[in-house]
Amino acid sequence: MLQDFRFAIRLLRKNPAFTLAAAITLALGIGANSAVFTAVNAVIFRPMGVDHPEQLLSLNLKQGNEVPTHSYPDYRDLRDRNDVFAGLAGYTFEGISMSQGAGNNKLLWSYMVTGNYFDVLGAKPYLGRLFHSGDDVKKGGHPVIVLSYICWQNRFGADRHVVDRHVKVNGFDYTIVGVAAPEFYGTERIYTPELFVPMAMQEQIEIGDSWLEQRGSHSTFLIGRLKPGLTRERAEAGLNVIAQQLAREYPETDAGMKITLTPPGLAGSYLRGPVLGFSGVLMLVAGIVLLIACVNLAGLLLARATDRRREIAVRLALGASRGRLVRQMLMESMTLAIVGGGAGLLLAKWIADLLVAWRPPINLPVFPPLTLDTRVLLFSMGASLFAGLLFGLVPAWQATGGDLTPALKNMGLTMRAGRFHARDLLVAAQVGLSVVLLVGSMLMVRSLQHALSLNVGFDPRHAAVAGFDSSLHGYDNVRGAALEKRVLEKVRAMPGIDSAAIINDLPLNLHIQNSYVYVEGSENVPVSKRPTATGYRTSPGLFDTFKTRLLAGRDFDDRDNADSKRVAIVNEAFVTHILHSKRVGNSYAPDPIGRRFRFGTGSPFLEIVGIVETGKYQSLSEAPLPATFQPLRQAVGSDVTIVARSNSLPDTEVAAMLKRAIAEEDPSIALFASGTLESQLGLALFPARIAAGTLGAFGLLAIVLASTGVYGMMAYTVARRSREIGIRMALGARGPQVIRSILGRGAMLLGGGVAIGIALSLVMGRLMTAMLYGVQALDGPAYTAALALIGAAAAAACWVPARRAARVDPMVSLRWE
Amino acid sequence: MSAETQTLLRMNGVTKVFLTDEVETHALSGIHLEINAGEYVSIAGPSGCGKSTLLSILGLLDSPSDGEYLLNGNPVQDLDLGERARIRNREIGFIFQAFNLIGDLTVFENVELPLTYRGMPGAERKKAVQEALERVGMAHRVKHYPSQLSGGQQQRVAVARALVGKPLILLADEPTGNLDSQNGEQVIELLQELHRGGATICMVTHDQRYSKHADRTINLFDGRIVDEVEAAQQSSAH
Ligand SMILES: Nc1ncnc2c1ncn2[C@@H]1O[C@H](COP(=O)(O)OP(=O)(O)O)[C@@H](O)[C@H]1O
Ligand SMILES: [Mg+2]
Repeated sequence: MLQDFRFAIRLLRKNPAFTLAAAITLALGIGANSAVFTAVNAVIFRPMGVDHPEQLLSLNLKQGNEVPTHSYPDYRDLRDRNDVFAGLAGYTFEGISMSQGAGNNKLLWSYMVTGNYFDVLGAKPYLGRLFHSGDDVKKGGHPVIVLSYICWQNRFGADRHVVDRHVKVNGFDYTIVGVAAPEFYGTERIYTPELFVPMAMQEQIEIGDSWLEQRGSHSTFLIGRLKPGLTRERAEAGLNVIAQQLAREYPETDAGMKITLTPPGLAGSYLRGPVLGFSGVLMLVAGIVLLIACVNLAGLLLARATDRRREIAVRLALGASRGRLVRQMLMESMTLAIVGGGAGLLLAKWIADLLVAWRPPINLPVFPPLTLDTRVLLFSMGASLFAGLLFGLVPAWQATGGDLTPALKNMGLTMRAGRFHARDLLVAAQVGLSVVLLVGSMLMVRSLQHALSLNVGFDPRHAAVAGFDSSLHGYDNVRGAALEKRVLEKVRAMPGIDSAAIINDLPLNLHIQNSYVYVEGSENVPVSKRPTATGYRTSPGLFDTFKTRLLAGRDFDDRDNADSKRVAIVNEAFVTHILHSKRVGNSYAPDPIGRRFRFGTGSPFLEIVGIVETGKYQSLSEAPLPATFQPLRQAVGSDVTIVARSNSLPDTEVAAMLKRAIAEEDPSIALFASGTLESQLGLALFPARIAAGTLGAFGLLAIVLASTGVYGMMAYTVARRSREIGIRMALGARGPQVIRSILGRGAMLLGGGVAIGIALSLVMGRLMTAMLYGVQALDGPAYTAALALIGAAAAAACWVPARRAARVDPMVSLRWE
Repeated sequence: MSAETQTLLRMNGVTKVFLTDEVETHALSGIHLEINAGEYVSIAGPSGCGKSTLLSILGLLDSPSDGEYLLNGNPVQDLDLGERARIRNREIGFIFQAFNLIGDLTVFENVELPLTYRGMPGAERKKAVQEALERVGMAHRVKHYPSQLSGGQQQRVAVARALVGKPLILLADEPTGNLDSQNGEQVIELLQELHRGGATICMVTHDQRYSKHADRTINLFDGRIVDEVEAAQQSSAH
């Protein structure tokens, strides 16, 4: 065994070029897989720093659509009445402003948690203490926070005396009671909060919006710990008994309510499907790349084994057993696997560091830390050894089998290649797999292209935005409104600015506010059938600045203020889906203008004064969604986003001007969503970008690996058959005839590989339809581009060997040694 | 020599110098040579004296470093690669010491190869291949692969391949070198038979037994022709 190992090392050192090529190939394959697995590990497998994670479950609410959030009153009832959980905790996310000194406000993301949260999870403090039930009793009575480990490191300089220090949160005094353990950052895997606040402080955290007592406001995520010995099904049944009670007790809000349980960490069932699906696709793609790399390695080893046939034949003739020889050759491939796997792991570490350094262009802390933990190490090792076996076994088996005499005789006969060489078939398979990856990435690139040119209901070019929330900085409603007005006027007066307006939050920015709509005259629709609309607050001039078309009626103006009649503008989807009006020429019948609706039986009616075109609000792939717009001063909320458009100035300059205008009014204000309007679409494009980026990278990697595979196959064919080439030339064959006879079969195989690749791509395209925007699975340009790329790569890979074949000197190749 | 004998090829002052690692090897120096149609010439000499090099230049596998080479009256020393390939294909038939059949092709396909490169239609090819294989007595083995034949049989197939295109001249480089004496004898007899049928043959051999069958033997030493012996003198020398 040890002797085999030493021999393997000696062989590898004797052929540095071969060893290097093999190690690099394997490093690419293993690196890609380890990097993907590192990410998948972080969002799926990583332990969350809690006790017995297998006992934890997320609760989803099903009333029509399934959502992961519940109302706080329902939470209290579920918590107190259930007998299936050892504990049930609630949490939700919110952006807050924090300052350690005067005026130095920072916006950061927090978790609001129920008092029992940490105890239910069994999370441990790193410093000080975490919350207990006693920290969440009296509304507004517990100004305490727990820092996440990362926040403590980044914002408090890892100060060990941080406990009991005071900070300002949204302008109020809070005391730090502890720091959570490093591996704990809440109960959602792709959200990394910086601090934790008791739920009882909700009104200070979300100023002007108190929902703790509203049974219709679904804002709280729930996580429960199963009692020992209970199955998920039993627990679900137990919870639904309570749900039915609640539905009877509160029909207005809870009618038809059902609860489902899913593993925690990915917003209940909400992100679970997409995240698992995409992770699966990525692992599959990475696996294919590894397979391609293995094919290359098998090809290299096979070529070498053929060259070593004489040595092997001599060994066999001397009485070595086949098993022994296979073992010796496997030892060689395993040694290679370990070297390549190690390099791959380094590559993965580098990629992970790169990803961590690259903050996604979105306004949320969605990236979990990417660490190469033992699970990743084990995965990489397993993948390497598996690869080593895969690419080692076939050549070893083939080289040691078969008839001895021809190898020993080695007459002037040219080597008989057989009809199809195993290696050539592998290369064809490799080309086929590359076609699949390339078509996949081309489809994603095309959808991204399409998404970028999609009509989102506003024109993101030549505009910039800056958002802030005055209530987080101690402003009351009146002073806040005055501040917004001053900023807006200042911006509008700036030279070069064509128009400016305010919207509470940008569409496509994850801040989704869906409300039930009660249309006047049809208010008794049951909850499960009641329509919803996404709601915005805007200043006059917003549609003009956005370049959103006003289809009927009027825009808001300055007379639409807190004291005037309540009005609203709705989009076309609202008109057709909710009011059931039809478009007739330039107007609608029945006419929606003047009709009234409201967001709850207790709230005032809003009269429709205008209709705008339908845009995209939650995601680029959504079906038309009803949306409503209310005047800024007629609706609650204190967050505003200033939008300014200029056709003469660069939009980055406009963004800077907005920042300056706000700072001049109040330098202490912390901004969110600052930048060009186009950059703010980052979140909406994020999934498409990630998919196009990763698939594109893998497609590229695949094509590089496949090209080297094709090159290896062709170069080896030419080298091995140079004598045959010489004979053919002596018989009068010209360059092209030689190339055809020597490389023709290889080219035929490649063609076969491409054909199989196309067939597989068609299947994959069908599976991908959910990920594609506005692009057919059978997209002509995507296929053409992929095939052109693979064709060019294959042609380039064949070029050098073909020239070498045409330039074989028959004098040299025919010389009899 | 009768007045009708026609000079098939002529070399005037042909020289071949190989340059390897800055070492100059003078493989051939000042070769003057004429071969007439229908002649059977043998080239003899010790190993390394330049026999194969001479044959390669005769067969347009290689070109001389200096001097003039006329094939059928046309100078061929400066032709381009395509022209040389065309002439090799139509005017030259090679027989190698190592047989040099293509292992992946059947006997039939091997023999067919020169005709394929010529672009001859399939039916015509088939007929010509059949004829050539019959002449060498291998017509019963068309579907075999070279590895399934004995060395002597392989060389007979190689002879068939050389003559299938009806070349001006057959060039054989130690055709018996890889064969036992009995098989070697048979191949020589085959060549003699072809010669009697009118073929022009130039054969390299260092085996006295075989060179005596030739009309003329050219002795090479160190890249130079040291003497030429006509068959009559040869037999008288015995
Ligand atoms: N391609 C070549 N490159 C360099 N030297 C060569 C080459 N071919 C032949 N030679 C040299 O030329 C001389 C003649 O070789 P060759 O014609 O093969 O001899 P023969 O066939 O008579 O044994 C030898 O010294 C040989 O080493
Ligand atoms: Mg020789």
